[in-house]
Amino acid sequence: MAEKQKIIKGCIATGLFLMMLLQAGCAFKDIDKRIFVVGIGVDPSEKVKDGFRVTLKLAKPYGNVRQAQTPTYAYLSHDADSVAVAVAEMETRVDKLLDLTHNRIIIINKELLTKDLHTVMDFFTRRGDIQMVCYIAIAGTTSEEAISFEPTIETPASIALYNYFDNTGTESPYIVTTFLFEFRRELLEKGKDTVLPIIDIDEENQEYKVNKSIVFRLDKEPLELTPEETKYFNSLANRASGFSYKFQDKDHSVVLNIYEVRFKYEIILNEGEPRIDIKVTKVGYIGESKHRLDPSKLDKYNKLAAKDTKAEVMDLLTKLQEKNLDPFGFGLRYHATRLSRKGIMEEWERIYPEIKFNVTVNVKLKGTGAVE
Amino acid sequence: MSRFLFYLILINMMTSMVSLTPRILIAGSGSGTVVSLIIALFVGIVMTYILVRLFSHFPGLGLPEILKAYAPKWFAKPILLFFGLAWYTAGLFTLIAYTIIIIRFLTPNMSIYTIVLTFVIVVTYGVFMKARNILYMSEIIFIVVVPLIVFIQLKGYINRDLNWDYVRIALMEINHLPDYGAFTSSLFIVIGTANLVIFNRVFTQLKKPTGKGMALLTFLLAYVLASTYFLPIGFGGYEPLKTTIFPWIMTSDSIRMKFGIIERIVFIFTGAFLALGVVSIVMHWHVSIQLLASVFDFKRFKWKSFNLTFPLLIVMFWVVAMFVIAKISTEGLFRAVEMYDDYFTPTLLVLLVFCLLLARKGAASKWRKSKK
Repeated sequence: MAEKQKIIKGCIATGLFLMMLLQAGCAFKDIDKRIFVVGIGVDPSEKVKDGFRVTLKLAKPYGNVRQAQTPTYAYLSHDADSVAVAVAEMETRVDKLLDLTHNRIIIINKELLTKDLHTVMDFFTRRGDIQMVCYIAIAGTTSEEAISFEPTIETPASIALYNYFDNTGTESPYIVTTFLFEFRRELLEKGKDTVLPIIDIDEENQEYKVNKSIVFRLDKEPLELTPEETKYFNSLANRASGFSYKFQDKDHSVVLNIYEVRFKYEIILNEGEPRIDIKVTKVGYIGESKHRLDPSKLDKYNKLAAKDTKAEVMDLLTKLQEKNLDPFGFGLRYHATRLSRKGIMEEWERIYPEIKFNVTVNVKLKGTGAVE
Repeated sequence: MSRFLFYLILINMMTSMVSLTPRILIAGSGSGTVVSLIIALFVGIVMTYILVRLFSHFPGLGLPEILKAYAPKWFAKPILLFFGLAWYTAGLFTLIAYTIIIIRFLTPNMSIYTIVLTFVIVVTYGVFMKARNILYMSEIIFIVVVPLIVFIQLKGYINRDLNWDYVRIALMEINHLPDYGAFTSSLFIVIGTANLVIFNRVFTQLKKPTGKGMALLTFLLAYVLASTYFLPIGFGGYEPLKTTIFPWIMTSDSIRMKFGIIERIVFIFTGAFLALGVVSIVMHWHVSIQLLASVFDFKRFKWKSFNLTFPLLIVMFWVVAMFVIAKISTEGLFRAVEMYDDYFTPTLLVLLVFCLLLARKGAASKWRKSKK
């Protein structure tokens, strides 16, 4: 009996090992039978009415990256009446399987924000194989141009566009990063509006330029933020640090290097007029000055910087309030701090246009840099 | 308390964490989920305590042996049959859920039958192991896989893109009345102890639950229940997440390991849960096949001296699994699971406790008789 069991077990084990032979390759499709999509751009179509023009950036397979002197990417555009159809029809134009799993960026045309956004987004969230950590961006001109542009500093086998957003390459307070999952939750839930970066192309220097952003809610007209506004928004909402926080008065013109930002707010409704108390703390040191600075007068610089920042923040907040946009998520906080009941967001929509902002900025400079 | 008891409970719990329960909690149950979770946790702990205590009266005996000794045959057989089928269905649900996850997120181009077959072959091998060896296997897989899962979840909790305001919105639903569907499906998560109906054969010295053990268990159950519900909401938003089919897969796709070996965590994550899923299916089907074999013990159904009851049962398991997977839609699966949770789980628990109480009474009177 024991002998027989041993034989049965042996057979099962051998069978299992033989099964491994079937498992070779990537789900029965080898890597040389796949072509990897590394960027998707969606524009409104000019040929098809109410359709889309989808542009794919494809990574051309190379045996050895060092051999590649020419660009290692190919581009493919197609017009169809939906994104899925466009992608499906493009499959007839390539000899390999279009693999979307490695795609990290989706660029959308500005016009689509107010037109057919649901149809566009549906494809990307419904397909399980597209990453939820894709970056979403808006094209300054058209997505096709933004996707297929090759900046002079792009090295073979790396994708410049990713480096702008993933905070492992360049890190700048001018660059807003929005992931697909953030975009989805902010788009579909009331209370916080999405901010998307705008990718421009610097024609003179042949590089990308990412320093503007767009605030956006489904039923509203999108609002474009200038680079300065983007920076202040980003420094508060995403605690972006870095150079270029500038302040100026009669005898000073100083640029600060901020390395830590704290941003707290509280919605106060029961003490007089409804208001939001905002407390901003910035810690850093001085990065550039037109004049010699006195290290013992850091307190004075703190105050000057705080005054300047406060004015900028107030401007940004009131501008957003006038347009009835809320990228900081005040509405979300309002919802989150009250027991749930019906009509809570309608209440907030009545409160928000009237609410006052009470901003306190606290700048803590730790030094004047390497020199006085 | 034996550590193997913990594996029984925890593996049942963690498998349900990503597969079907989150959707039922988030989408299917309206607003009463938070209170339901708390009640389910409480009931789950009490049930675990009662079951472990009752089973500790019958060291080394499974439910079939207990009922055989202390209950009439007409009573024991239907109950064992019902239990056997219930356990089979529980395993089947896990199998279908993980098959769908694989085909949707990992290998969209693979045939569904290949996936099921790979599962079923491994599971069949597991089902025929001795109960003690299944527990050893569960320990090994648990130790290999769980640190990874905990690491990824921690990574999620400390992620800056996790917006706690969404979680707070979900928490603020606490003023709503509990929902029966949410209660039963979270009860299913916490009630892994019920596997003792067969696995009690291994525990020859099952002691009464200790305070320390129960405290640890309460903490773990609370953590898993809370994570199952709240962490996905923090990433996907409260309203938007209601339309997702597998909220936890989407969540793990939203967690990004910037400097990890691979950036997209979802593959590691689902891989880890697949391992747990296999163990869970093995456990459920082992219980099921043992229960069913105690009902249909075909004494004469033999090939030489080898009883063919078990092979016959497992072939039936396969056939039913294949048939159901070919027929069922995702929506149908969720309906079925909801029905199972709403009606079967509570009935099963009540019946189980009732049987054990009855058997205990019988045992006590027998003991008294023999003493006289």
